[in-house]
Amino acid sequence: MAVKAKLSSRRALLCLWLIAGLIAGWLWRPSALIACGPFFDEAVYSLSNHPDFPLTDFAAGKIGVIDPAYYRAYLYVAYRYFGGEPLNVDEQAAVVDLWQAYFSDTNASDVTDLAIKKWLAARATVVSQPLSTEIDPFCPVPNGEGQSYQNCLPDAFQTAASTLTLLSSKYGVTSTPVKDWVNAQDIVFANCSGDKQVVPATAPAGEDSLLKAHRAYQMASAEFYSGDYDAARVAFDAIAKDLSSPWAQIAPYLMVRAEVRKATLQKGSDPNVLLASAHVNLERLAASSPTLKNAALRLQSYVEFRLDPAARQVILSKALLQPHPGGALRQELKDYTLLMDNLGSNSGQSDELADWIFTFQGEPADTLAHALERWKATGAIPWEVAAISKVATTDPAAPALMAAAAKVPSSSPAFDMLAYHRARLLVEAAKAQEARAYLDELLAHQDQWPRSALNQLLTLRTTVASDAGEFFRYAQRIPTAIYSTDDSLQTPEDLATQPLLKAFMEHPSFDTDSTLVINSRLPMTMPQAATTDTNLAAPLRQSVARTVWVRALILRQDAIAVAVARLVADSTPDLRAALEGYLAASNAKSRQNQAIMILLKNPGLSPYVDSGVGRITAVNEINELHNNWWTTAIAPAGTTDDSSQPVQWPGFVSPAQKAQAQAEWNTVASSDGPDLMLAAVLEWAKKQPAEPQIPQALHLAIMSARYCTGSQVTAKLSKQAFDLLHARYGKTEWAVKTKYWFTGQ
Amino acid sequence: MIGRSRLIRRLALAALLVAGACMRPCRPSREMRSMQDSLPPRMLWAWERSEHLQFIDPHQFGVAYLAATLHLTGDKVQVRPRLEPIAVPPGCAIMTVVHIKSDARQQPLLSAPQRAAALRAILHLIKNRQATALQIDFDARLSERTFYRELLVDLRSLLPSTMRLSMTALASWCLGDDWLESLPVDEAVPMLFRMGTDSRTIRSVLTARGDFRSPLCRHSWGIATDEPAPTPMPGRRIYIFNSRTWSPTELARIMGGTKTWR
Repeated sequence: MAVKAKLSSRRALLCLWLIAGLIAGWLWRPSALIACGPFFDEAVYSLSNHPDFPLTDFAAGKIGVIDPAYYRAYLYVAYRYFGGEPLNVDEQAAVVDLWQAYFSDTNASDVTDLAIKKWLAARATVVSQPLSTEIDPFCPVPNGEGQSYQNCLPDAFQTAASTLTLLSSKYGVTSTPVKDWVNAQDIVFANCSGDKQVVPATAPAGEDSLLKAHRAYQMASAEFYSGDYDAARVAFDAIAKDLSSPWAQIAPYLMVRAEVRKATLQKGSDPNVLLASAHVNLERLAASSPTLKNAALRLQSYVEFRLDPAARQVILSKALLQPHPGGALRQELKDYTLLMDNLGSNSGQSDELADWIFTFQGEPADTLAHALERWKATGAIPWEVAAISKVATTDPAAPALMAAAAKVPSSSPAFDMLAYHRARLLVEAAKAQEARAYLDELLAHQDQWPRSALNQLLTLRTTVASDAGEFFRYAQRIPTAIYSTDDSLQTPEDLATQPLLKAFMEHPSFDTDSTLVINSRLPMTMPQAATTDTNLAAPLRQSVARTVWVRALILRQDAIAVAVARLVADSTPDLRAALEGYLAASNAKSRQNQAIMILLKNPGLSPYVDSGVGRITAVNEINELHNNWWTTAIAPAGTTDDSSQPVQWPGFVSPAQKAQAQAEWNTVASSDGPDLMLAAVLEWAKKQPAEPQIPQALHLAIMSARYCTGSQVTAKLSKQAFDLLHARYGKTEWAVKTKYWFTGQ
Repeated sequence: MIGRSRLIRRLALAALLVAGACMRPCRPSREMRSMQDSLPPRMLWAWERSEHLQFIDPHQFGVAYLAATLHLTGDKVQVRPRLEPIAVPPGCAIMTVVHIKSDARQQPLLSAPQRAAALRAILHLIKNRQATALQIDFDARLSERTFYRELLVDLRSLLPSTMRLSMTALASWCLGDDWLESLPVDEAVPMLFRMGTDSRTIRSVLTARGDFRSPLCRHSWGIATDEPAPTPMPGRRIYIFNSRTWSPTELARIMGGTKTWR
């Protein structure tokens, strides 16, 4: 946005002023920001990649309408319920625990950080000197560009803290053996990051056998973390043979861990040979040691994961479809979805669950035939869901799928999904009356639907509205959540700390599908009627009334503007006094001038209804992100939506109303706020040069181009207004305040 | 004694020098710009999942892989390095990507020590790596801009001069948000996907204006495999995000025809 300074005519200072102006211009260039800023919270009416919160509802079988973009761990649970295999309480807790880890602020490093803190706290009871280098539990994979692995796991720090407590109670916190042990342990953990390969020295000759055993364990651990797995294996083997060592029992397990680490991290050796050996050793360990059995089995699962991923996926698939203790389910489900990610495609018929998930997630053109084939072959609900979610109303299979869906009772976890798609197919088939009746039947039980699914039903219902009143009634919705637009995980914002957003969530608002229609497909008389329709929530009536008022000004529909001005005045305290003046004006021309002043002073006024959170700055305050007035440059919500499809005309709009709406839209959509206001003020000044409000109006109109993007003519109008203000009203405070004119770009 | 006109000229010159000094760090050098041309025309973003990209043609595709996420929380910087493997063919251009995010519940202090910790973590991440380019991916709220600007300035001064510094940018920044121009990066990649409420606005403005206003945003575009994308402009490098694992069929499908929105 170019800024033109008013220059001194004194030639001697021209150069300095010019340079100063250049510097000032560079340092302080008014930004040509657009209306939508970069860091908005977005109201989401239907979540697309995870179920509604609380996730416990979904885990308990309130499935709602699932989306192919859902993460696979959610789809697994949907499959279980669709297939008549509900999750028990343990399983529900396990899957919720896994899902929570998907969201920010709850990642695995938190657990490790807590464990490190615990160790450091224990360490601080013995040694006052902090570590010279922070413990970094992650280590780069050798020769693996960009990949790291967690070298030191939380258990290591917790075990160290517990051991220190035991040693301190035996030898005393300030004793030399305990201090030596801490120093050695610092060396052990210095290996975690992979930056150093260091091993503590052997225990002094005179130390007792317990301290020697602990030192041997520290040395073996250091070998392990430093990546010398052969040395670690030998050291742990020696510990296992020392029956007096407190680490003798766990040492055989650690030997296998060293074997597995070597297989997965060290190049040069055949990983499959090592993993196969580890698998045998773990089987033996699980059979011989009750205390190590669970740990051995867990590690065995990991080895199988690495050794034969496809086979492991099939094993896990079968296991996941059986009821089992929750603890095991979490890791199995995590491994299973990881394997699906890694294998990346449908591995075949041997894994029905993966087949269903990949089919459900696939493009209809690629997967509908398979879904139909499986449904016809099995008659199973999961396949019916997959098929109906992909089928178009023109497909020959659609009637059979709809008929089958109609037979599923409302108590079924698949009911919402099947009912939604049945309704969708009715809408797509243009059976408006049938669709209305069915949707109304479903909407009679609104409280039984998850919010995302309910909003999807309401979207369908607006598309078959029989009149504008119905349209507005179903267009109002409560969002499911609010999240940051840059968060692909759709992590809901914590509303407890954000009162504005919390208040917003308590009232219905419009989603984009509705505002596209309201703004571009309805003649103005329809939203005008909505302003007095008590079926529409009061905040929405007020919002619509403000836009109708501005739209009426643009379209020069004085009668409509006057009619809604009273409503706006009553509902918007910030505008009340000004609108009283507007309504008291003696004639249309005077009202028009008053209206321009109101527009100039209230950058929140616009002819477009906002969707979602919208503009939360007060109507009479400038929004720093240039969401002020309106402009053609920022695509007034209009003719296209995100998929570039033209906005459909509602069925209730008659041909005459359609022509009216189109004509109105053509005028409104080509209007820029700054241009309209600048032109109106210039015209006003021409006709009533002595009017006292003119200097202020000129100033505000010029400034509007700074805070709102204009058109190609904005610069010309702004310059014209600037020149007029300084030429004719140069001694007024408004001229003094107006140092620049703006291009609106 | 200096005459008045000479004094004015000297003052003017001094002012110009000051302006020049102020502007210097804000413009990537020509050397860096030429390096930019050494990257292939398409860069595949490889996020935190196992990616085996040996099948790509290194002349056509490079790989920008997520190397770590830095989590700014309170006065801490938690580093979560990449734990999933990434494999690329020999000769493939590699870009290290570092994602930085703020804790929503425990707001970061954004202090100098926190900035220094983030800087250390990033420098540690690129140490001994093959990558010749670094991309910082972050979401800067207004209040966080100073932190990120200073971090990028520090980073630029400590990176090898041959290492290209890239950043991702919300598309709305690229339409004319001046703060981008003050950043010492070689490119800002406008993210033309997951734009939320900005989507229609961005598409419309881009269609109307033909390009982003910010020069830094005129080198490359970021698109996703599962959203309609703008018709590529000649000479514009495309970064491609895939919400699933990359595979030869997936890549062939995308190259066969991405839905466009203009």
